Amino acid sequence: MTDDPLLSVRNLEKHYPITEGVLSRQVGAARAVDGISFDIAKGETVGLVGESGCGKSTAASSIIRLEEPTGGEVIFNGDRASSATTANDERSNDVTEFDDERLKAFRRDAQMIFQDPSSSFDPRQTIGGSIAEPLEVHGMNDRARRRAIVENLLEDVGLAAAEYDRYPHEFSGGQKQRIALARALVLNPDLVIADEPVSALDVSIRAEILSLIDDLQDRYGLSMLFISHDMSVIRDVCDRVAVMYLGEIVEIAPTGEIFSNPQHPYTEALLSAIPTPDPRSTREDIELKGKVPSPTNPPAGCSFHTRCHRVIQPDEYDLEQSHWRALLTFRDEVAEGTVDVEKTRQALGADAAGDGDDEGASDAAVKRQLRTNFDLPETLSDREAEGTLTEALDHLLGGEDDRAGELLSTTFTTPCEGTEPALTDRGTDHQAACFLTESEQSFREPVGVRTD
Amino acid sequence: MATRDADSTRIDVLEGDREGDESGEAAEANVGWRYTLIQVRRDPTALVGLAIIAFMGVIALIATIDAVVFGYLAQYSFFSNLGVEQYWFARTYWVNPAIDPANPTPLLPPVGFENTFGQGTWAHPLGTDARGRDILVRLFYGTRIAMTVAVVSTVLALVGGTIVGSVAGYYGGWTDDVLMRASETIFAIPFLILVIAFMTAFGRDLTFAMVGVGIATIPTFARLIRSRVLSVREEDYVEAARAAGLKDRDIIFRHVVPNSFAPVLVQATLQVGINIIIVAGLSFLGFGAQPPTPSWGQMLASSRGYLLPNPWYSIWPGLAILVTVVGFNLFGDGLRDALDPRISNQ
Repeated sequence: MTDDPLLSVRNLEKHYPITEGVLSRQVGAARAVDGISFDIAKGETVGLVGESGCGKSTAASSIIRLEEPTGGEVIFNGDRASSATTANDERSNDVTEFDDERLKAFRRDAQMIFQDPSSSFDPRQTIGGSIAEPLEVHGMNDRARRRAIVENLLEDVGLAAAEYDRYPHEFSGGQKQRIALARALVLNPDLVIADEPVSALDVSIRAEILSLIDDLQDRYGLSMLFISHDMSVIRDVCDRVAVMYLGEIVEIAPTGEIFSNPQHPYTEALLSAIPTPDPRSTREDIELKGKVPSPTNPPAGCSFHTRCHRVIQPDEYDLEQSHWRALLTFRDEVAEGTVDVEKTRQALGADAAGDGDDEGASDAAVKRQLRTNFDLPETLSDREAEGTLTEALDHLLGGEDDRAGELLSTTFTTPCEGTEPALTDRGTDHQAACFLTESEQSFREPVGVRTD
Repeated sequence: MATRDADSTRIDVLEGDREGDESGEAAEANVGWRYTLIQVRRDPTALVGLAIIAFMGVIALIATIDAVVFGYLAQYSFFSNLGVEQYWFARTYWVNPAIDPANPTPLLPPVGFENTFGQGTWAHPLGTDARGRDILVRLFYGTRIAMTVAVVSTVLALVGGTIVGSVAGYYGGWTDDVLMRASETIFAIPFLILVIAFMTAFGRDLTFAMVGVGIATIPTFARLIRSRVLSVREEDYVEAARAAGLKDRDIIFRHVVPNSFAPVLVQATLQVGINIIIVAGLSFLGFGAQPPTPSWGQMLASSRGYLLPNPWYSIWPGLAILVTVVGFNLFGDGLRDALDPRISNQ
């Protein structure tokens, strides 16, 4: 039992149904969380990182059952929940199956810290009352004792006991986040889920709160799930990191490993977004282009292929990687019908206005402009590819958008959109879901991260 | 400048709290309330409204004591020996010895006016009605009916609407559908017809007037609070309360309702005014206080036939209704400004 992880998440899913019409017929689902699995050991901090909208927060609230997950298991081995199990061995430790009574016991063991400190306290309740509320719920009816515990805790998080009777609006964001910590710790839980606890704070206060979290974690022996979109915060706090993209975990590894040897292009892009303090750094930033795909209709195959800067070329081409990326983006937009030739022509015409040419720009100029818009070069290095592109542009200008789209879609394909990559081992404790293998990536240098 | 004033008041309020209150819960209720009252105090129209309400309230209170409490106490010899009797107040201070009950003078005008029935006298400052009863006294006792019925029916609607609306908004889904569709069904039936049908079924009694009007206005409050609850339930502190293991019922009544209550309070104040009109309307139609119990609407109804010989007969009860309703509306507007600074700053 002692070797078991505190929390094991297995294939957790949270799909929001999309309904239509008066009868609320379900026409689809937003796959906010689409089968994620990871473990948290006792005393460990696991980071969950990803851009906004990738399902991190949904994952958190599904794990703690603030929202009902639609699939998967969450096995929790906290002290109190376990003792409840021994009373009746039939029952598993799956949080998603807990009845009301066990859920209440689970609430003692697992607490949450919210992102926005300004909305996480009832404005009509004193902060002492807010912190003491969980105690009251779990049966501590002695008012004086509740107060003593809370005052103690307030001092632990760096506030004065006298602040007990003050109201939330009298505190700054950083102070409120300290209070939120106190509230999360008041029941002495085993697990704390922190949903972007510092992203609403100033940088200077952020460091204080992070070190406070670290301190308290040591003192209380907490396990943590730390959710953030900010890699630099993750580096300070976490033992292991799971990277999420569009409801799925694309890479999971110990923190040091993920910073020194990222195996997934998305991780790489996230890492490159960390600002470097060195102004002479020659690191090249990776800028992800394109819209984040909707979780209602995730792209086929690897869900990242629509934005991936390392998207794989089929064997027959040997284009420059950035040109290949541009080509695929162009292909997708033409297929979606979002490329507006007339608008481009008018924009060009407006630039060249004044010479009385009502016709707008010439076809050649429009084609050139389209290429620049999509970062495509004047000519592609591969002649066959160039031929197809020119033909597609001709179709586009001829108003035959469908034909252009079809031509591009059938000619340019990438292995990434075929099947979905599974998480594969990339070293000790290190897994990533990408078709690029270890060997193909070995030419890479660690992206702009100082591994000191 | 205005904002700075508001801020400094706010700080004053808070400091007052810290010095004055030992227990956390008393302070909890005070922050909002005292702040609101201070805001209202700065608003002259709201103060006028408050003064009218207070005036009417005092009259209603005296009338209630005189008509109901004294009437009850007079049954016991201990009190009746002390001189307590029903309408003691009116008899002592009002009934002019010069009036001969056997020979009433009907339809007199107010003091200083004259009509075919005679000259207005101080014995009947506002004149008399068709049976020669003093209009001022009847207005005085009519206040009791108007205020009681309006306030009680509003409180009924407030409580019912708050429960329905907050439960519907908090749970959403089919609970929401069932409750709100039911409310809309009530809403769809013309108001007076609903109340009259209710009273025809259960009795033409003031009690049923209150209950009927209360039920018929539940949807107004339910909708109002539901719309607020929909946004409040998404706040992190509600999630936090759930994460702490609070029961839904506690979350709703400890966190959600108190934070959704401001617009409902404003609506309640305005609704009292509306209900006064409705109750007067019901009395006018004969549903409500039954004669000889005086009520404003019934006075209006009986004055209908004497509009030409003595218009004052109908002017006075109309004026009483007007003033009271305006009082509640002014106060409601002031309260709205105090509770929602965004509107007042425009």
